[in-house]
Amino acid sequence: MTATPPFANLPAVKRRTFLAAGVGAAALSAGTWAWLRSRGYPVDPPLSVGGGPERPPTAGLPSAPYPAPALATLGPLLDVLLPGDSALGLPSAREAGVLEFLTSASRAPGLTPIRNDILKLARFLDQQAQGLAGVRFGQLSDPAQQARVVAEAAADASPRGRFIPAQALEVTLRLALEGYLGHPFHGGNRDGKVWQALAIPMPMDRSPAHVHGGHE
Amino acid sequence: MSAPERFDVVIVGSGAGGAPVAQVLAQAGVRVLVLEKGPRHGVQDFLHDEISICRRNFWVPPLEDDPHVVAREDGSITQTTAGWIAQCVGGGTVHMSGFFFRLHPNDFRLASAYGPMDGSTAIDWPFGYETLAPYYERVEREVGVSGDVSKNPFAPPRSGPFPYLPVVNHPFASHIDKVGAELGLHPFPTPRAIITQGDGHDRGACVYCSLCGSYGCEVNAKSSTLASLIPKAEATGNCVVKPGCMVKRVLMRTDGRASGVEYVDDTGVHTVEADVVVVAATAIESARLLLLSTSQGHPAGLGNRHGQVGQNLCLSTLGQVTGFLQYDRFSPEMQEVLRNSAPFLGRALQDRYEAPGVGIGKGGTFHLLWSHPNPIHAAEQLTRDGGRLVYGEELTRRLSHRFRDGRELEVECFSEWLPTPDCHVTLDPDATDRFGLPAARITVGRRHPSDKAGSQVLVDEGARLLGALGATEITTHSVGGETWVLQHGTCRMGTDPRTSVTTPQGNLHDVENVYVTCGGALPSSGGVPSTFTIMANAFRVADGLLARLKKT
Repeated sequence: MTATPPFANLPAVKRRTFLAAGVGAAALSAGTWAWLRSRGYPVDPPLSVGGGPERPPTAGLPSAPYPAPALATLGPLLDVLLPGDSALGLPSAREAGVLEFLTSASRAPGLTPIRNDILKLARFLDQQAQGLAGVRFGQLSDPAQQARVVAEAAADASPRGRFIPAQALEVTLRLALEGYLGHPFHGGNRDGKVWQALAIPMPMDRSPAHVHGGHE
Repeated sequence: MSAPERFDVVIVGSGAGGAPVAQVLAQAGVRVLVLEKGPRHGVQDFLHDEISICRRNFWVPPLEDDPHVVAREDGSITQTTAGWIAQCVGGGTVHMSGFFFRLHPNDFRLASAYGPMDGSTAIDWPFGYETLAPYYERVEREVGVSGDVSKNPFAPPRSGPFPYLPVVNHPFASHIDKVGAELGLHPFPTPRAIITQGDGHDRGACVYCSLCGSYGCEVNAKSSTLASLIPKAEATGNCVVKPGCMVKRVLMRTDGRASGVEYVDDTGVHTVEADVVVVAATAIESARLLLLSTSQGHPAGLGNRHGQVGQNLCLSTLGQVTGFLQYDRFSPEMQEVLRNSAPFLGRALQDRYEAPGVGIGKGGTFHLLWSHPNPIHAAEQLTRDGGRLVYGEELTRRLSHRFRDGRELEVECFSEWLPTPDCHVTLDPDATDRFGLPAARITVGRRHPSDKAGSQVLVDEGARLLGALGATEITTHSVGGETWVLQHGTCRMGTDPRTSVTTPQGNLHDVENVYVTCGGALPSSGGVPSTFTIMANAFRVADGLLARLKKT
């Protein structure tokens, strides 16, 4: 077996590839990721996280997958990734509830490896910010400095053990997009405002909230 | 191990290949057991939720439970879930898009009607289009197919209209018809495995929710076997469907006939005795099951006396090109048309099904559709610019452009994947599934050059049409690519046991009472999606099997 890094060369896929991915490659769970990594196998791009068609966790689940310092970094990071546009009425990631989604989704069984990568990414950003301005990433007051630190992470494909900043940033973005553009039932896309701003029609009838008696 | 159960026929798999056999036999009074590896979903499970349905392990299990191993021409060997279609009652028909085109007569004469074909192991089918035509019509009636044949001058012969009126298509389809005609092309309504009128029982008419591909249908309008054939089989009282049952091997008697199968479920290992075993678990997994079914008389696997099981794997050759219809480039009237939310564009073309002078002379089918409405997936496409990750304001601009400024139109092309000695399924020497059984190793090696040539013709024609329709940002995503959810060839039918696995009647050359009815039995992929043909062939084999059973 070759040893291609887990997120190398993430492809842009179109519908037919996606159909296959939807039933296959994209369905890689975090457990899969961990399993493959533990064996040193190359893996298809982990386009998804989680361990099955689970509902959003509500109660009785491990609390606080991210400690406060990490959350203080991840919040600003998400807004760098998805800043929104007030002229369009497009909320930023945090305004859309993506941080809450990320926290909720990260409690899913089997997510530990991905969560750990996100934690390492948060620490990496903090270290970079310390080097740049002597403060943690979340304390950078200049948006340009935040953007610079994230850009450095995006360009850094050198492995640090099993952690690769650029790949961790990409998986964070993919998870963030779930919280930004997914059904509000899952905790992100608060009040469906991202869909409204982008003129994305609400799915009819069979939304999770419809089925489970919640709110659209 | 519990005491053996006893049925007349046991069927492995409940999708396009297994369900037709179950229905035919059960309705004739034959006692049938269908063993399905995956769960049984109900309509209540089919949410309109991209995260739950498309981005988690809804259709197939996690890789750690069921790995496939893909070996490439470049020497790479990768563990992946590619090659799984769906593990659930109804199989891949539950999440299919349901584009139901028939093969053309020349598809059945692949080796003799085209050429030269050096490097390919293609054979002719052991029967012609005229044999399968009545079964296509049967599928159309039994599962429900809608369409309008009158608009396709290249359609193979048929005896009458579709049983259901075509789905209502987007008004832009009329513009495609007009522009296509100006280019000398002949767009026609895409036939769909979707019913446009409720059956008065459990199946409703299509509600135009826009989520066919990758989703289950919440009103049973999509003609999955779960919605159509399985209920009919069960209604007879002669068919039992058991989900969550993984068949480990076909069991053999000393007289050379199969005695049944061994399977495992949550409660342990079980044996089913049966007069006939029907294997319909997809081309990859059916080959794997036969290779796993070694015995004293079949040391290399069942039906594998000549080493043919797993050989001649053909996926479907994929071409994809997209264009963007930017609203402000069109007249106000056309902008209004484009903003219409009707989900189905529903136009297909077979003008280049034959492609003289290109490769072996074979093209295929291309059709136009709105790009899949899943927003997360669409957004992911925007996060890459070559090797650079796109985020921040640049991603916001892309999102706004993609969703607000126009609509993305896709041309999807299906063409032949010629069998070669370098594409095949074997048992992996290392990887195992959660039951400890060797996983399938899928070798996708050297492909025949005609595959790409035929695909290129379709992509070029599609791009030309997109340009004429006023699309910009025309982008080719795939030429000669792979469609993993369409699989064929690994247990192909033929008259010569040295080059095929199953007889024209569908049973193994080596074993009279073991049949293969999934895509593995098809000798070639053709220039269309194959689910329709798999169903038709399964009905054909079932009729023959029933006649045999009646004789005995």
